[in-house]
Formats: sequence, C-alpha cells, structure tokens
Amino acid sequence: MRLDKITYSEFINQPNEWKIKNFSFGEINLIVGQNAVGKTRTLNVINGLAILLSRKGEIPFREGNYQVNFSDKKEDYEYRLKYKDKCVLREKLIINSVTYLDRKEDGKGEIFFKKENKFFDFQTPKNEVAAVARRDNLQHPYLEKIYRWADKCVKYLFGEKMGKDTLLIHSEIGEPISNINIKDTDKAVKFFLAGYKKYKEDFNKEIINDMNKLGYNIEDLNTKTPEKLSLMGKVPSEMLVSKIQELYVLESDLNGETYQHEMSQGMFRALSLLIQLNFLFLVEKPGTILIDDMGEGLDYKRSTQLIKILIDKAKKYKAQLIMTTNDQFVMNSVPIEHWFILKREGSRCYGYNYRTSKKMFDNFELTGLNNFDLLTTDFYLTGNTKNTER
Amino acid sequence: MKKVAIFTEGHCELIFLRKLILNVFNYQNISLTCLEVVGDKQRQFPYKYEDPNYNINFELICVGNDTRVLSYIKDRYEGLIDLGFSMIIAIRDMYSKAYKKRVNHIDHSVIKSFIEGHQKTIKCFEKKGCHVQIHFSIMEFEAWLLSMPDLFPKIDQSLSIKNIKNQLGYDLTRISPEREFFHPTKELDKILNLIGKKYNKSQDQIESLIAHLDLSDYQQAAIDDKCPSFRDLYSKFLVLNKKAI
Repeated sequence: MRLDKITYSEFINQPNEWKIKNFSFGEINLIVGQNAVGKTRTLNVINGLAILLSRKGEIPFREGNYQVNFSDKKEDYEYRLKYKDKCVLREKLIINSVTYLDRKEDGKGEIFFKKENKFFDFQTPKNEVAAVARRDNLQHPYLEKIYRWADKCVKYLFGEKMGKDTLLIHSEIGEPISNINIKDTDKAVKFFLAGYKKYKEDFNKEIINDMNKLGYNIEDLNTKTPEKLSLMGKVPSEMLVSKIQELYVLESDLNGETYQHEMSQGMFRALSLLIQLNFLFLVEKPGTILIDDMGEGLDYKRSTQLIKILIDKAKKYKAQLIMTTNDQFVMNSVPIEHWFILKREGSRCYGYNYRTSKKMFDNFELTGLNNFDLLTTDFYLTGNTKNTER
Repeated sequence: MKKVAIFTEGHCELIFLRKLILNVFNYQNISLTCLEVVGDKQRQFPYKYEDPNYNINFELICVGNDTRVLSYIKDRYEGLIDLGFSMIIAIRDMYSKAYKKRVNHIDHSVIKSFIEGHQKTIKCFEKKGCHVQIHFSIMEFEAWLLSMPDLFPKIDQSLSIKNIKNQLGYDLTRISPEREFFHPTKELDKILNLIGKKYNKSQDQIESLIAHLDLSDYQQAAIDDKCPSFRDLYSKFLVLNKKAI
C-alpha cells in the first residue's frame, strides 16, 4: 500500500488550529519549504496516522480529522477518521467506491464480513479505532492492508542522534528477529546484529558498500564490547561495560577501530540510517519511510550521495520515501519531480508538487536555475526568478 | 582594466575556453585565473597565466553542474560587481536532463524556449554596468570539437576525415555537428573508439585533446560556421581582443 493523498485538520477554530489539504504523494517525495512551514509536522501527521492504525487500545492523541487515500495495484482505499477528546466521532473505509466500514460516534456501525458476504452491525469502544479493533483476517482481510501499511511505516529523525547513545545489552543479543520493532529507530546496534544473523556477510557488505559510496573508507563493520568506554555514576550490573556491545568500524586509513561513541554525529547518522534501511529492505517488506531533516550534518558529497543511495534503494525495493530537508545540497540533488513544496498561511498549509503544478515545475526548468532557487525566488508562487526579500 | 568572469558547467568547457582565450589573445594583454567549485567552496584549477602588461583579467570558474551556472552567477552577481567585473559569460550545454525530458532529438522550438527562459532569468537580476551573457553549446561542447575536423588527424594520423567517413559514415568537413548530433559526446567517443580509446571526459584526456588545437582550428570553424553557437562565442573574444590591443 502507498499513501497517495492526505487531508488533515485539528483543533478547528482554536488557537492551535492546523490544516493540510489534499497533500498528494508519489513514490519518492522531498518536502521542502522555509523554516516553520510545517515540514516536520506533516511527517508527524502521517506518522500519527500510522500509530492510530497499528496500535490496539485507546487513542493516544487528543484530536484529529483524517481523510486519507491509499492504493496498491488492485485497490483504492479511502479512509476517514475523526476523533476528539480521544474518542472517535466518525470512521469510514471505502474501497473502490464501496463502503466496507462505517462507524458513528456511539461506537456502533456496519462492517463487511467477507465469509458471509454481508454487512453486519458492530459496536466498538468509543475510544478505539475500529479498523484496528476489528482486525480479523478471515472476515475483514481488507483491514490487514491498512494495518500492514501502518505497521511498516517508520519515521527517522536524521537531525537527531539516530541511536548514537544507545548501546546493546548482552541479554538482547540472542533475541529473534520477530522481536525487532522497526520503529525503535535508536537501536542501530540491534538492527545490525539481527540483519547480520539472517544475512551474514551479505548484510555487512551491503552497508560497507553504501558507506564507501559516501566516501567513508570502511573495511569492516561489526559490534564489540567497547574497550575505551567508561560509564558514569551508579551503573546497574546488566549495564556494566563488559556486558554491552556497540558498533565499530575499521577505516582503511586508521590503525584501530572507531567505536560508535567516537564517530562524528554525521557519520553515525549515515551509518545508522543505512543499517536500518538495509534491514527494512532486506528483512522486512518496506512500506512508507519517513525521514526528517535529511542530510543534516553531512557535507556536500556525502549528502548528495546518501540521497542517491536512498532513492535508488527505495525504487529497487518499491518503498515509498517521504523526506523533509533544509539542506541545499539535498534539494539540488533530488529531481524536482520528487519535490513537494510547502507553504503556510496562518494555520493552513498548501502543497505544490509535480502532480498538482506540472506547468509551473516545467517552466522552472527553462530558467536554468538549480532546484534550490525554486524556493529562494518563490518562482512556484510568482513565476519569476527575482530573489525574494526575507 | 576590464574584468570578465566566465562560468562553465564543467571542467571540459573550462579547459576549452582557457585555450581558446590564450590563442585568440596570443598570450598578450591578459591575465587568466581558473577556479572550480566543489560543494560551496572555490579552489584553484590549473592553470594561471599572466602577461605583465595585461589589461583584461579573465576569471574562469567551473561550477560543476549545468543548472548551477546561472544560480551561481545570480547569487554572486552583486559581489562580482563589487570586485570590478563588468562582463559575465555563462557557458553550458543545451543537452541536459531537463531538455531530454521534453524531447529526445534536436528541436529548435525547445532550444529557443530554453534560451529565452535563461535570458529571462538573467533580466531578473542583471544591472546596468555588468552584462551577463548566456552561451549554449548546441547540443554539447563536444559539437564544437567536431566542427574542427583538423583536430582529429593531430590526435592520431589514422583519424583522417576519409577514415572517419568510411568508418562512421559522415564527413566532418561537410556536416554541421550542431544540427546533426543530438548527443555529440557519443560521436566523439565513437571517433576515439576507432583508435581503441574511450572518451571519458577526464581532466587529463581533455587537456590532451585540447592541446592539439590552435588558432587556425578556431578560425576555420568560425569561417565554416558549422556551429553558430561556437562562432558567436569566438566572435565575442575577437571583439574583446581588438579592444585590448
């Protein structure tokens, strides 16, 4: 399943009102815009939906109103969910123009039973999402598709630590791959060991190869008990240095290993992302991958190479990639067909992309300017290339 | 003293321009500095030349990407004026991803729309006193080399016009590479393949190819007018040379 379109609002007519309307996405998407236009918030809205559709139990958020379209090769899904004060007010699922689930504020509704080929009434707790609470692969197999989308949707915060400070305790080492939660994005060590366990050297080689393409001359990658690490303060016995593992790399121009706590933030971010994405691509069936602040902390060569690797892999493994960036190099290396320009007026966000504004994007290519100038000149709004005063 | 900045999309164009300028001016009355942009930093590119009596200063800058040429100029235009530059020349290939997205052959209406689009961009930031000119090689800078048929026997005796015609089916003294070849790089590669070489655009290879060119090659190409995009650029340097003397 791929997320095609999303309309979302929350806290209407209140000071914290927020609206996005008809944001449409393709396979590769780079969300760009000035600071504070809502790039990260847009990813959070998508990730929030993934949380709502993949977790059983009470709704963890206060208020929201989603209208979302998904599709795969066979079917078009339209899903609507409105909730307030953590209770669902309305929920509806339409597949290929036929309603399969329709539920009202009191929790009562109708749902299609496949074996009986009929609709039956149901009631679900007011504070639970029926699409999750009613999961049943025999009677409602169509719900599995959106559950799987939500379950496989992962958000990475590239501008953050990406797990640099997270080490692995020995007791976690033998855990089966099924125990891995792909959303635990600060557990790079765990992902590495799980991928290594399944694919052995092939997994290792793939990551080393990717890191080499970025210009990191790595010859080996593995985990080890750190030799030079000392933990501060009172440390529980399971956390003794002798009982933990961290990632290390062997660089061709250095004699000793470089442990993850010694790596630069930029290097570790790239390593962590590549470990986790290769794990997703090789071990799991990837879905929608959200990456916030793509390229942050990397230099020109590395950020442009990393983006190329990610796009190539996303295409190869048929994953949907939705990234945000403030990085000029990333913007210039991603074709504008993949751009999604965000503009905010008050609490309303507007999106411009190749699907919705093809003529404008085509005209921009005639100007001879690089992608970044599409933003700096406001060409997408004015159609001219005069620099905007800011 | 006149200061002229020339921005090229790649190092091939820069090396070609450097030799062209030195030949047209016969190494007299000019100084020349070459730079390349990597990331957001500028660094020296071989090589620097200075006639003790120079009255024109050329600065050649390779920005490394076709869509970067005008953006780079736009972002630094005010600074270039402050540094005393009174002429800026932008050089890039017509052959590009954006062009190929529209058509996969030589199409004059598409070429015109790109030229007009670029000129419109320039008008948005250009000011009196420092003129910016865009020169497209059509479709690629390699078309200019193909319009200088005497170059090839100098590279290797076996690359005679006759042999190239026999092997590849075209007579370089008669055809217009600007009108015939959508992807001139490929044609140059085919010619070099005849002597067992590949055209890889490496700095060393371009230096070695360009070293064979002399003023007569440029003069003949301009007279033959098989590449009007080259003739226009060459004429510009002739005018500058007249003023410098």
